[in-house]
Amino acid sequence: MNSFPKNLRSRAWVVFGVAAISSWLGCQTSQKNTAGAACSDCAVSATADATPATPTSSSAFVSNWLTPEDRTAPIEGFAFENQNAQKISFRDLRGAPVAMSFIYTRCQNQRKCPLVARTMAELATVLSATRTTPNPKLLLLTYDPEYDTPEHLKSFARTHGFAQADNAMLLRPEPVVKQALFSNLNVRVNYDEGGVNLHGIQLILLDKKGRYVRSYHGVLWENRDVLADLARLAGE
Amino acid sequence: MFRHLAAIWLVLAAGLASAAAKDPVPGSKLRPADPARFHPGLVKLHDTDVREILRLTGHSTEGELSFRKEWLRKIRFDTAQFTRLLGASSPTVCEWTMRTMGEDPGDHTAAIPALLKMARDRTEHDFQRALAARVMGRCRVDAGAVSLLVAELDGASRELRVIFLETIAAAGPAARPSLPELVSFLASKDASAQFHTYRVLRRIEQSTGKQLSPSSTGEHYIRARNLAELRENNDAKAVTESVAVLSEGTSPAFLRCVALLALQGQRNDAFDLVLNAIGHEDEFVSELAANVLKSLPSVEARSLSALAVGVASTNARVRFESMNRLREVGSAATPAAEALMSVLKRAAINGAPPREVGVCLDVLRNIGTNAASASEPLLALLDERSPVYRDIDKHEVDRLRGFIFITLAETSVPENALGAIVSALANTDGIHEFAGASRAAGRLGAKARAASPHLLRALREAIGDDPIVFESFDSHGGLGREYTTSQIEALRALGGIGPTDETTIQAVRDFLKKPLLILDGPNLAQRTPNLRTEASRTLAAMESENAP
Repeated sequence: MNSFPKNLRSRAWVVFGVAAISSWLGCQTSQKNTAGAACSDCAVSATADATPATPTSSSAFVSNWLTPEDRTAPIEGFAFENQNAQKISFRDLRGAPVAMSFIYTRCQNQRKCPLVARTMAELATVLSATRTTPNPKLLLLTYDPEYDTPEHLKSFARTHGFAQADNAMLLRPEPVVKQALFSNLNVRVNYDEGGVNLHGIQLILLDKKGRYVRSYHGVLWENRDVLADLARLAGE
Repeated sequence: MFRHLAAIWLVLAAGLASAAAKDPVPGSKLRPADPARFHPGLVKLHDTDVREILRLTGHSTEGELSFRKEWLRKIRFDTAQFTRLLGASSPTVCEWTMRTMGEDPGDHTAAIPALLKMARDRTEHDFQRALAARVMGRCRVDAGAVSLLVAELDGASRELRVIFLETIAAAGPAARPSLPELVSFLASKDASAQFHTYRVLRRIEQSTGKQLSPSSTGEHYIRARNLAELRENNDAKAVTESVAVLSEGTSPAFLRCVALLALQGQRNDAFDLVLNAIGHEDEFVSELAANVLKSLPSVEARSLSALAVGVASTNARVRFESMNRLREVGSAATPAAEALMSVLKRAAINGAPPREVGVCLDVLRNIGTNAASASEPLLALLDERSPVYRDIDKHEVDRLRGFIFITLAETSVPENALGAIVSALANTDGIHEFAGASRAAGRLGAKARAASPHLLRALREAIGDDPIVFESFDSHGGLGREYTTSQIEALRALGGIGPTDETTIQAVRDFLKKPLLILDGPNLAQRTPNLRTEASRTLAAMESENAP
C-alpha cells in the first residue's frame, strides 16, 4: 500500500519528463494550432504572430461592449501606489483608455499571474508600435497589497518583461480599500489567512473618462481583440 | 505487502471497534480524556527538571543525565516522594509527577491534600488542575475532599467542571454528604454540568445501594433515573418515554440528554425530535444529539421527511447531520432535493464550511439526474468570488471546486456551464478541479468541443501528482476506492465529446506512442483504470463517425 505511491511517483516523473520534452518540442513546431488557445503556454507568441489565429474569444469569456450612453459613473475614490512608490488615483488615469488586469507576485500557477504579466508585456510592446493616440494605459493591479510592496512589484515586472513606462505600471491599492475596490470592479478573487486562495483571469477596459466598458474573463484574452477595443476607445 | 495490508486492516478494525464503542456523551476538552490513561512519556523533561526530581526524591544529581531520564521511567516512587514532587518549582515536573502517579498502581491517598491544593488553585492552568483532579479520581477520596471540590464547581470553567464532576462521581458514597450542594447543579445553565451532576447522583445511588428520594433530588431526576433504568433493562417503554420527554418543552437539559441516550441505536420514529435536540442552544446537548443521530439504525422512508426538514433548518449542525444521514439512502433522498438546493443558495450568499457544502454535494450526486435543477446553484458556487471559498486553504478550494464539477456531471451539465468548464481546464493547477471539470465536459458531449484543446493539457503536462478519489467529499482514499487522475478524466472527456478535429485526434495518437504509466501494483493500482486502455477507447470514440 505505502510503496505504491512512491513507485507511481518515480514512474510518473519518467513519463512526465518524456511528456514535457515532447510537449516543449510540440510547442516549438506548432505555435499556431488550429484550436487557438489549445496551448496556453504559447498564447503570447501566438498573439504576436502576424498570421491571424482562429478566434478563441467567445461570448462566454467577454462581456458586452457598453456604448457611451450605457456606461455608468467613473470609478473614483481609490488610491494606489505604483512600483516606484508614487501615489496614483483613478482620476490621474483619465484622458486615455485603460486596460487593467490583476496579478499577485506570490502566484505559483504559471497559467495565471505570470502568464497574465507576460501577455500584458506583449500588449505593451505591440501597442507602442501602433502609436494609438491618446496612448492607452496598461495596468496590473495586485490582489495582494499587504504582501506586494513596490519592491516586490518591480521585481515581478522585471521577471516577466513588463517594462515600466508612462503608460504601463503595476499598482497596489491601499490594503484597507482592497475589498471595496475589487467588489466595485467585480474582480474574481478570494482570500484565506495567508492571502489569495483563488482568483480568475480578468482584463477590464475603461474609457477615457474612467468608466467601465467591457471585461474579458475566464480564459486568457487575445491581445489582438484588446488592441482593437483600445483603438476604438481612443477614437471615441 | 501482505504484512502492510494486514497492518492496515488491523488499524481499520481497531478504528471501527473504537467508533462502535464511542461514548456519545461529549467529554471535557481537557486532557487526559480517559481517566485511566495518563501518558507520562508525553512530558519532555529537561536536564533541570531531572535534577529537581532527583533532588526532591533524595537521589544524587551527579552523573550522566540522559541515563537518569531512562532510569526515571523505570523507578517507582512512594507516595511521600510523589507528594514532595508535587511541590516542585517546575510546572513540567508537576505535570510529569501527576501523569506518573496516575499510571502507578499504588495507593496514593496520602497525596490527596497536595493534589486537592493544586486542583483548587485558581492561579494554575486548567490543564494542571484537571490533571490533579484526574489523579484524585484514582485514589480513595473522602467526603471532606469531595466537599472542597464541590465548592470549586461554581468558579470552574465548563471543561474543568466536567472533570471535577467525574472525579466526584468516582468518589461514590463519599459524595453523599455533598448531595444538597450537588443537586443545585441539576438546574445549572450549563447542560454539561447538569448531566454530569445527574451521573454523580446515579453513582451515589449505585455505590450506596439506596435510591435518592424525590424530595432530595427533584422529580426530574427521578424521571431521568427511571428512564435510564428502562433502557438498561431493554424495556420497550424506554423509547416511548424518551419521545415524551423530548416532546415536552419543559424538560431540563439533563433529562433530555438521558432521553436521547435511551434512543441510542434504537429503531424509532424520533428523527425529528433528535434533530430538534441537535438544534438545542447548548452545545453539549447539540453534540450529544448529533452523536445519537449517527447511531440510529438505517433511515426508513418515514424518517426521510424529518431529515428533509432538517436540511432546510437555519441551524448549521442540524443541516449537516441531516444531510450526513441522507447520504446513506442513495436516490431515495430525492424528496430532499429542494431543501438541498436551498443549502447551496444559502452558501452562495452567506458562505458555508466546506464540509457542509461537501455533504450536500454527496447527497445531490446520489440523487443524480433527479436533482438536475441544482445546476444553477452549483454554477453560482463556481464563481471565484463565492463566499464558500473564504478563509479556506488552496488545497481545500481545489477539492471543493472539483466536487462541484463532479456533482454537475452526475446531476446535469447545462450548456451555460461551458465557460466555467473551459476556464477551469485552461487555468487551474489543481487536480481535483481539472479532473472534475473534465468529467463535466465529457458529460456535455459534443457541445463541449471547445474544451478539447484544454483537455489535451493533461496529456502534455502534470496536473497534480497522485491519483485521487471522488467517492465522497470526506473520503480521501484507501483500499477499495476507485482512483482516477487528470489524464484518465481528460481521456474519458475527449471520448465523451466524440468526433473532433484532426489535431486533437493526432494528440491522442501521439500520447499512445509514449511509454505510458503502467499501473500494475497489486492493490491500489487495480482500482485505477489502465491508461493505455482508456486512451485507445478515447481514440476509437474520436475516430468513430457514430460516436456521441
